[in-house]
Amino acid sequence: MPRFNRERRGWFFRRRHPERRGFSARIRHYWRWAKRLAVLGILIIVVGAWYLRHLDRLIEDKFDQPRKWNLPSKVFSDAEYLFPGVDVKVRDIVGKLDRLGYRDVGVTIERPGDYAKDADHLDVYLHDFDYPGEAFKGFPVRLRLSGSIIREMTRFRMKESLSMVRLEPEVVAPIFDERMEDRTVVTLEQVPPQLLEAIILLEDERFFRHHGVDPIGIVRAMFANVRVMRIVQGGSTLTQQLVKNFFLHPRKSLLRKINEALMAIEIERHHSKGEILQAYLNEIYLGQRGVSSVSGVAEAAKFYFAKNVNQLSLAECALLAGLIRSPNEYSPFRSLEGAKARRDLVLDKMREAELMTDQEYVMALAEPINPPKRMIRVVTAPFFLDYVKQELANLYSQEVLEAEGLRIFTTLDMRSQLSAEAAVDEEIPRLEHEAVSLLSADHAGQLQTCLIAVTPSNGYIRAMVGGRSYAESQFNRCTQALRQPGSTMKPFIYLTALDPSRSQTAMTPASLIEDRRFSVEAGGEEWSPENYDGKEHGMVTIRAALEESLNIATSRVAMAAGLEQVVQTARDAGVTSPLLAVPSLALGTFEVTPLELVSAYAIFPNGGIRAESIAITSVVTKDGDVLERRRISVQRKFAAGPVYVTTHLLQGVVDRGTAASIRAFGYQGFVAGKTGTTSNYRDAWFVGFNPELLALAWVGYDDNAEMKKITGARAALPLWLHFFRVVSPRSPQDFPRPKGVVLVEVDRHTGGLARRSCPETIDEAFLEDTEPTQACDEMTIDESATSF
Amino acid sequence: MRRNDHRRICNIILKWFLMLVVAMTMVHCAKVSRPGHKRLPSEERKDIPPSERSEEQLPTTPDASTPRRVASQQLVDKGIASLDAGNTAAAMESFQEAINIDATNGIAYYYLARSTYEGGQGSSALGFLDQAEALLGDDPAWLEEIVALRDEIAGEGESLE
Repeated sequence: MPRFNRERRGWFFRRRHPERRGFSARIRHYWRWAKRLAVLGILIIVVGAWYLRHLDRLIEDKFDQPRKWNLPSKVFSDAEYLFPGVDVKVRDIVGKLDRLGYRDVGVTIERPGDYAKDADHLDVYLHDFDYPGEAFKGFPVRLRLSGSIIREMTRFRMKESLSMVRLEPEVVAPIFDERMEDRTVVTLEQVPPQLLEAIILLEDERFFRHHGVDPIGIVRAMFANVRVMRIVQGGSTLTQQLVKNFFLHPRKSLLRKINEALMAIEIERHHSKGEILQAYLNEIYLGQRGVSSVSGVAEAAKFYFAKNVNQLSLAECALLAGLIRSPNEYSPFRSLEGAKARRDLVLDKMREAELMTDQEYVMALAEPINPPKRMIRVVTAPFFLDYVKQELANLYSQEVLEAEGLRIFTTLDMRSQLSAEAAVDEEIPRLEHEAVSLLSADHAGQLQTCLIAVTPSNGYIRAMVGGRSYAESQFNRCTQALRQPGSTMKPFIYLTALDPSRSQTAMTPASLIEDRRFSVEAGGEEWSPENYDGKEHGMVTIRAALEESLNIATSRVAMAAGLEQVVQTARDAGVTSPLLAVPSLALGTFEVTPLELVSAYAIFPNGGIRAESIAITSVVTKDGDVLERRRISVQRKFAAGPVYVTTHLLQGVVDRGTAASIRAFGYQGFVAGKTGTTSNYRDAWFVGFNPELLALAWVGYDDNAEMKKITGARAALPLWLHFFRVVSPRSPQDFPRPKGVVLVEVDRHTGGLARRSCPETIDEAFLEDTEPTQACDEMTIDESATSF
Repeated sequence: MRRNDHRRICNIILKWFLMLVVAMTMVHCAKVSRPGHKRLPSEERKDIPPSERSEEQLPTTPDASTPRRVASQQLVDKGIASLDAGNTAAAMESFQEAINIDATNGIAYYYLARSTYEGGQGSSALGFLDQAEALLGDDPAWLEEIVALRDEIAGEGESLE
């Protein structure tokens, strides 16, 4: 027997050689060592048990919760309603379908999310969608077109006529936590079995035969990797992958691998395979959408195929399973060929594993990969989103919004919003370029803007752009900026004057008023209004005073109508900012927010009925329970007659007055509006509307700096027009004339009844019994006789 | 011989220790049997039921000429069915949608007023009646309905006072 090799045995026997001692001494020696080992073993067991308990608690804390993931809340736009007469080009329906993830399949629609367009029709297979309180099941429709106008709508390949089709709301933006993970949680029952089988086959074939760690898998992976001398196979089980993604970090380290294995074993001890698989399917990273990650198979199904996961075909299941290994490398958005090669490889493996028939295999191979158009832009309306969050702040904390997966339905019209953003992007730089000599070159801040649109009848906020770049400044000029309204205040003065129940002095659009300088004492100081052109215009009609935005004449009208009465009118219309009954009120020298002003203007297209602005319609939990419904709120505040008469005057502002460039630019249709420019050109405004839409544009500097000679008509009006002519290219109807209002042809200059001797006439609106009685040629303008 | 004894004892001790470690590891890794360990989950799915529609005869519209109005009226009809079924919230949702499609549909405002009133918000309902009156005021039959509902709401308000 060879002698004991001290060197080979190492440290364990280094001190004393047992052979040199007696038997009992050696027994004692071994016994001593056995005791040491036992203590060491116990210590290892205690520490190990403690560590395992620690990991167990970690698992309990995170994994055993009913809500495993923070689900971002999602803000949705309003739905799109289609019916005969809708212009699909004006509404950019194809663009909307692309944004909603529908796929242009060319000829025949077969599955949810498909669309196909032709010269005389547009076929759409509608998605399923959970509306607040209503689960909508998608079906195929055909929209028959005459040009770009919907002529008829039917169920696809059926004769059943449809009077209305609703396209689901778009996601305006998700509200993420710091992890920025976009995820739709599904149960195992919702996932197609082919997808489950494909994932198990590719990622962990022995999933149902191991207990968290798979030694056989590890050895097999090792051999496979050694054979080709590179990493081609991993030995991690699905459970380990879940642990790595859910609890740990992706950095490679020995400690992480140990923890991964221990935790995988621990999870498998306490949870069923079904629970683990479901968690894996919801956790797994499957790609990148801008700055947020696409997590879980359900979100990935929406991202890559614009479908619910339960609607995936066999070929799509194979591709999705194949993406897990390297989502960005095999993404169909990156390369259709690469994605196809990966999918076909998975299909081959599935056929080898007898997970499909030969016929299914052939059909799946032949299926083209047709992902929807990729929408990188994650947030569309950031200022509106902030406003919505602000509206919800009292009800839901930021933490709730980031974690609970709420679905917030809003009034935003995506077509209007995108048009508004495009208008701002184009018009403000154009203005800076054209007015470069008037704008201060060394001004610290950029020219800023607000563009906001509402539906006057119900107060729905349709679009909101609170600045030219949200990335540079999150200050929302539509809702947070307090600015002087300038001449955009004038319609409320004239409304007061033309309403006999409000005005101290009876006036009509044909009344004459003196546009000649005057002074009045206000607050201990002399106040004297000036016209924009610095001139006086003598006796003018009320119409001319408003159309030309004459400050002196308007100030006289305000004082004649009563300043307190004007304040009351503004209040009734919805102006909530502080107002003082002083003469300068007529020129809009107080401050309002643009949102406040646009809401107040809604009374004009709405016949005197005030509609409160509304941005949110419903808040729904991820399970579909409606937490909150917000209703429109309307109330009659003004008699319809005077409102119509004022609106009629405001139509003249566009047709002949300070906003006549709208017509010069070729915009047709019924539209009314008012320009506004504040003193020293600090604010440029335009508020314009037709019976269906009301929009406000403001341009200025945040620090109230001057914009030399840049008026509302020059700066704000083109922005408004750019937006309005896209979203409302033609107004379908005139403002409805209420009972008690008559149209009378009068002379434009004197306001007297039209005669041949007065060729410049106009159809003027009057409240019944207030129309002029004198003919124009009988009238003599006694400039000293006016009472105003 | 003595040397062999020593080695045997040493081996036995080591063997026992290793067996202890292996046994503990096995106990630790032992799988707790639970239901749900099956190859694939159940595939039972619940179909979403079709939305309920009332077959009841619904009021006719005075101005059903434009497609926009027809589309809007479809939602009004749906809302009326919900109202008849006692689902005020769903009815209000439908009427609001109907107004969203066609802001000049006075009937939608009338029924929104009615459902809002039945939902216990009489003061809000009056605003919708204002709008309904502005849009339907030319039709004596509708005007009568509007006035009657307004009187009903006003009466309710007075009795509460």
